[in-house]
Amino acid sequence: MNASQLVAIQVLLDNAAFAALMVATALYWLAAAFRRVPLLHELGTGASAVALLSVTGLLTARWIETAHFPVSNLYESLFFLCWCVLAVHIAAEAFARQRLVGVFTLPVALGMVAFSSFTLTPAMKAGGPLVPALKSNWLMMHVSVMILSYGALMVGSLVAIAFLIVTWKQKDPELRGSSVGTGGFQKAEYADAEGTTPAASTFASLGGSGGDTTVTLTSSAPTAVTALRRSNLAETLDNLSYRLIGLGFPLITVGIIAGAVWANEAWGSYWSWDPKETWSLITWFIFAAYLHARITRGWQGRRPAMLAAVGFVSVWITYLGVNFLAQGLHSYGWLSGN
Amino acid sequence: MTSLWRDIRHEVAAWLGSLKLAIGLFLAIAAASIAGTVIPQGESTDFYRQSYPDSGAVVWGFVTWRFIISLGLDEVYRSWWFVALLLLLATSLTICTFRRQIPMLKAAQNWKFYTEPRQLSKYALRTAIPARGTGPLAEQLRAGRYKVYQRDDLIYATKGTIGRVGPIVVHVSLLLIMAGAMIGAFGGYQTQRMTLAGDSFDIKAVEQSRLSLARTPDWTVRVNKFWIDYRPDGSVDQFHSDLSVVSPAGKELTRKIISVNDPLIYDGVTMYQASWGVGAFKLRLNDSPVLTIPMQPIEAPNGQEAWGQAIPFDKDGRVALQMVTRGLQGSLMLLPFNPRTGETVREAATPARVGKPVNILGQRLVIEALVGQTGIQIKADPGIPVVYAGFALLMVGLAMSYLSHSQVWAIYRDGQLHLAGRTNRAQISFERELVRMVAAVQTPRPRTSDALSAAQE
Ligand code: HEM
Repeated sequence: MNASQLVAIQVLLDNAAFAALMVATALYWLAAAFRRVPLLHELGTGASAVALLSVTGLLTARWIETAHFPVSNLYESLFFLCWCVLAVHIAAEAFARQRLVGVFTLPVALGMVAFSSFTLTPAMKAGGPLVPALKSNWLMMHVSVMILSYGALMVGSLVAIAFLIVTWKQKDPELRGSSVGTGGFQKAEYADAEGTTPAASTFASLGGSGGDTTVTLTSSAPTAVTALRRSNLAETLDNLSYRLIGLGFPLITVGIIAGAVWANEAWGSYWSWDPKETWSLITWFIFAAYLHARITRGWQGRRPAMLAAVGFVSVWITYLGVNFLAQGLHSYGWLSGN
Repeated sequence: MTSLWRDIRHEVAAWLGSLKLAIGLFLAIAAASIAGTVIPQGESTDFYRQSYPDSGAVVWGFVTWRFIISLGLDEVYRSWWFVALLLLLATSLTICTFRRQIPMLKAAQNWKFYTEPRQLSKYALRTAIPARGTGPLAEQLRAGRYKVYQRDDLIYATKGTIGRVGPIVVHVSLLLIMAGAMIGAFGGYQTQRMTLAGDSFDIKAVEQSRLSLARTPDWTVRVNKFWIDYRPDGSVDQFHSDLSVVSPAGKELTRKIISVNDPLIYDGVTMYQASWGVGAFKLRLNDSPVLTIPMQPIEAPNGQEAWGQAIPFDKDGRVALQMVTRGLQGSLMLLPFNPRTGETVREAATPARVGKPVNILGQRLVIEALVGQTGIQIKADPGIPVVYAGFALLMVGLAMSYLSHSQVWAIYRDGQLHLAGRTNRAQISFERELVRMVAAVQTPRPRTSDALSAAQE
């Protein structure tokens, strides 16, 4: 296949991804609005899978065309980030059997593709050879792991935002699954009503809790036999966002380390407080605060989720905002198109 | 008195090791770092005076240059209060590890059997099912890679204790990284050298902190050769310097060709290819000997990089010749001009190539060579091995910290198996695991779907 064919494929897949994401977003939103209409969710998941495949194809074609992993300019990195968000979204949805996630993640993925399609000039979209400073395995690893971590952190904090919305009226939802939290223990209010699932919030049926989240095991014993009380919607969202951020945090750490090692090998200093570097550290500290807030007595409930929401903004500034803020080591013609 | 002192010490340690302080520090360091990315760093006082005036259009109403300078916001990351925040974080980490984490780890290993079903009622995740004994559950737990302890009709099972060790490893590795950074600050130095191919440089004058304990080496470095690889379109692909380290006695100690991302490391000093320039050209005019004339970076009209030098070109000083080149590819532009008016003599502008004689204004001129100048970044940082060890340990610790520590207790009494469990991270997976196990050990053993439909009736 020659280069112009590869470019044509990319244009086609770019449009296909955009269309699939529009459809998927619409389906997830419709499914949230009309909870009783069957199949909307399944179709939404299907459309996001189509989008994921299109973006995979686009990135592969670009990789073959330029002969390097496609993260060397804004266009490529936006599509790679979109790929990560979609992949994490689909994995999280399958893991938590929880379809509310897409209501929040799909618009973000759509926004990325829309931004790269409509605002970047053709010169900024085109692939090209690597500048000398980018020719390093450490650097390629640094950039791709950073973007992967942005994907996990973004989806994780979007789920935390979903948690904030679901628990809007609740004063103090307990978190389950934490080292020192009381969540592993029985709450007083359930002590009387053994085995009943607490009334889930308005989104409950969307979470599919009717089918799967509560499994009541019967017993012929006459004594008060309790069923395993499983997480309700809010608790599921909370634990899902914790696990995703718990995955994103090591990834961003590895990304920062790879960047530091590369900077040391190439520039002679592993840390130079360049704005982008500094923002990745800021993001890192915000998510460290999130992880520790979860295990702080009196800080449980909605507060960690709010920190995660702040982290969502911080990830975006780290990824994009810095290029507008300042000229540093990291701004290799990203927005100038050469 | 001593007991008061002990109380105070206890209070201070409790405050320093508290999670609330840690979170406060994370957010404070993040906020200070944001200030450092918004306010330009390390500029001259004049710059701040102009950009942040104290009257008229005051930025945000209070950010004046006096405000910035007095708080050290022009050099946030080196200000005493920023360093103090980092040191406070290190202190908090150390105290936290000993006062909180190690006890937590010990508590996690310090398990016990429960003997009475009602003791299990404090756990949210618990149930009681008809069963034939503890055997089937123990089997299920072992299959799920739990470590199972059994006594009479009691079970305690655990897995993922390593998930409790992980955060300790993470915290220790962070202390290592900070220690490495301190070693670098006191024992390291850095500097830059621009050197013509063929010349040598030493590493005597360097930038180092006031408290530095570092000693600079007495060997010198000779630049044997410097060259650039160009792409067909004329852009730079890679640049290389051939360096020899030479002892004071003139002996070559080592030799290496360096390029961007591939430095020379000798005696704890690292030499990186950082930049380049055109340092000089060699010229022969008519029958003169070869003259070496230095070149300076100049700004070309289109903003591109260029190097140039003007030389007088006639006896009365009415014509001078500006030599301009864009790199080391070998092409130049010769631009005669009037040094008094600065006017160029357009029609006499002549392109030239290295080695090819040209005639200009009646003279024969050969550029014999363009001599490259290599920009080398020099750095010694004895803290690097410690920092890298910290990096490696940090990644291991984080991987360990993802594992969830799960515990299951069970009591078999009168045909009923009472069980409860808890985990610290992977709540959803743990619930599923437990439900699956319970379904598998329950008697009489109906097919799971029957049990579910029975429940729905
Ligand atoms: C830059 C500094 C720090 C980083 C990057 C860091 C990182 C981490 C990580 C990744 C975890 C595991 C979180 C999880 O369970 O998902 C953790 C746990 C923990 N951290 Fe930190 N930490 C830092 C500083 C501190 C400080 C200063 C304290 C004490 C005041 C502290 C106390 C704890 C405690 C008590 C745990 C829980 C351990 C457990 O769950 O078994 N950390 N830390």
